[in-house]
Amino acid sequence: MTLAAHAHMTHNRVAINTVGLWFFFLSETFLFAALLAARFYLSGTDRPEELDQKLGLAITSILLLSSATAFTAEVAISKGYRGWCMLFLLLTIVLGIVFFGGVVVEWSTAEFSQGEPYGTAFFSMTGLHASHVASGVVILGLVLLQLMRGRFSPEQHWGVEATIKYWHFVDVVWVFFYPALYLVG
Amino acid sequence: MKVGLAVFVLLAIFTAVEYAIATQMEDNLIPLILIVQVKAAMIIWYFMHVARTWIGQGH
Repeated sequence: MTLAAHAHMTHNRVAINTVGLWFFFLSETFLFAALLAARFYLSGTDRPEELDQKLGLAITSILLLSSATAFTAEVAISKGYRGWCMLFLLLTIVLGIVFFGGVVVEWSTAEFSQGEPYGTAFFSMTGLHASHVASGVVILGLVLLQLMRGRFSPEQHWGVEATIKYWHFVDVVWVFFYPALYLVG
Repeated sequence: MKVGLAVFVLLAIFTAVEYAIATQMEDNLIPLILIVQVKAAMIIWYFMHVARTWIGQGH
């Protein structure tokens, strides 16, 4: 096989993988959309006054910042800056852990129960989302380990790109969940 | 990289506006829905490079 043919095959494989990843996001969107609809079905636009608004805004800002660091890591590996990529991936992981910690604090200090309509929606939505954040942190950690072992290059970094796309997807979900849980009403 | 920074700053501004709307307005559903859609579209377009997948734009 010629070098050009091999490069063409690699390009096609990445293109197919990318489309597959978007279909995965689509299937996840149905799941999260169902929870979002359930939140408004169960408790309308009501929300409890005792919600910790500052904590909600803080964890939202942290997740937003983590999307920016993840984007920077992707740009870095595409330009061959392996060290910068590792640094920004590490920052993304730390921010993800801080976000997860914020959700744990929210759960442990919430003054409403899972028995109430709003509480049912709140704990289901934040729980499912936090589990995605946790899995994202684990996958980012695995990618970071592979980078440290010398894997990935500016030409071939599908693993980094896919993981970072997943991280952005988790952020997009929170873009919808944050106002639905904390702000509406 | 500059685009990423600009998108992040805009997302931060939109989040602050969301918070302000929620604390100042009682009937805030419609403006919040509009802002959420803009924020999500920005992340999907600029950070997730959706165009590159479906209409084949380069880096």
